[in-house]
Amino acid sequence: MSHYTTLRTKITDESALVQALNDMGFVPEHVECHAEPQHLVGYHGDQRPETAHVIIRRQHVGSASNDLGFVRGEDGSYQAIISEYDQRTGYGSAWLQRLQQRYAYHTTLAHLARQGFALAEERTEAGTVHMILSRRA
Amino acid sequence: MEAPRIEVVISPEGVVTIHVQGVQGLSCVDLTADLVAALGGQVTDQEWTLEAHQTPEPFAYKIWQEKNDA
Repeated sequence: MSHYTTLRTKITDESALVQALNDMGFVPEHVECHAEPQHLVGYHGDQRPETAHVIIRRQHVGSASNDLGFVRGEDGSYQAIISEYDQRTGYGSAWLQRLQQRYAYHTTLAHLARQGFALAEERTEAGTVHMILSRRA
Repeated sequence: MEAPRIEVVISPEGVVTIHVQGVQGLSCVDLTADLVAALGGQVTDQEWTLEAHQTPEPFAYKIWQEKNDA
């Protein structure tokens, strides 16, 4: 029996988002999680109108960077708030896609572990992650 | 019977393909429903191979028929 599902990743789970940010080089102590969204801070130390639930402060991003934020919308999915400057200096769409890939990886492991599945095989080829998870029949 | 096995492929663009094998009938959909929801639920494609409907599983078959009738 066999069943295929294909989907485009949307970030909805805070802990898997934090794990993905850890994979992208941000240590857990530098990733703030807030129940209520907090204001982002710009590179001059100025408070920005934008708010976010998950924040990496600018000093951990780059010397002339602004805070990076992820705000949870009404549908439960997170939207990235990244300044134009930071998008040009390494935090653009390619970075976000890699983050989504790492998010999908951690979400897959966590959810399928709850169903009794464990990682049996993993390989990365040309940037694509292949995982095989198995459990006893 | 074949041991349940799930193959997951994640592209650099964050597109995920989940392939469930060795799970009886349409319960393979239940198995991944939570995961699909946590990944945002934006399913772009879904495909069952013929074998998924071969197992005599009256309850699942009934659901399938009702869906067709609707």
